[in-house]
Amino acid sequence: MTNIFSRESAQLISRVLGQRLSYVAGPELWHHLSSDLVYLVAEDKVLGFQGDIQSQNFEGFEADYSEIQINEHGESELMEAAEKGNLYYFHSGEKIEQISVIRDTIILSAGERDSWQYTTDVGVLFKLTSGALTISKLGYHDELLQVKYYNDFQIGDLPTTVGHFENSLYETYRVERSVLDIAELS
Amino acid sequence: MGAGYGGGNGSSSVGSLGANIKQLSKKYPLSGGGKFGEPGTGNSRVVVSANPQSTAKEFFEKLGLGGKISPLANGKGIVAKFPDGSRVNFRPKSTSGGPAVDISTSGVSGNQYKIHFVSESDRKRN
Repeated sequence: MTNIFSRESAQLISRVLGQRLSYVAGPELWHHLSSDLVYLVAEDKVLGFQGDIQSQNFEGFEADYSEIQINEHGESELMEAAEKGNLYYFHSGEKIEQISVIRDTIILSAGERDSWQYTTDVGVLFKLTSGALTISKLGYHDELLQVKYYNDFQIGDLPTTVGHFENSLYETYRVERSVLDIAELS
Repeated sequence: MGAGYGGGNGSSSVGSLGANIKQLSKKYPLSGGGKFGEPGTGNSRVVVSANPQSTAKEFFEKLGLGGKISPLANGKGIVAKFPDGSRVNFRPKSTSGGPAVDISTSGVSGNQYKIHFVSESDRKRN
């Protein structure tokens, strides 16, 4: 089962590559910088990251799994965030030098064999002139996203994503994470 | 402009989801695994009540006490967030149809599960 960015979404994200970051915003983006809607505002592009859920049945039962929808927005849609003061200017003016997608594969193993695999894009990493920021899912099953800033980014700093997957005597889960350059996906 | 990583917005409410769970468990006992309700499909739980909608609302109001409450932009519900990253979501209408509450606690004993609220007749039907 896969739940990853479409080629069109990857192309949208890649449009801010090389642009200068203006700010990050969201109508409800304040507490812990988490919300289901996050805007990334670059020189002449506004990208919206909308967290949502979709119902799937690959685990043997119906459950909700989070997804990120990418859309391009106009500046008028930033009004509500501006009125509420939810604009964040950390690292503003820095060039977006590299964009990567954070992709997790969750594998359920029962005994010697793998029962199922679930691959999902959990976030996007923007490397800036000095530092970085990520917009990523807080969990695998709900729509909340979180924004994190890094002054000195290390790959091990990537946020972990939580899920309802619990090991038992007979079944174990493991998560394999990869970081893919946006150019590979678009 | 936002004040920083934690945001501002002037609310001084401070709460703990763990404490709220403990308080609510006096009325709705926890299972041995520390979860509300009976086992449902997968990792979800089921709480049976005469009025699922109001029971779900009661869960959210009591579990979200002291958290920062905000609506979801996709219009599917509301969320209460706590300083340690724990959160509770309330969906009046979940993908399965009825109301649901998602609980996500942080820390070593972190837990993430969904509670579906159903009536006795729904329970029998399923």
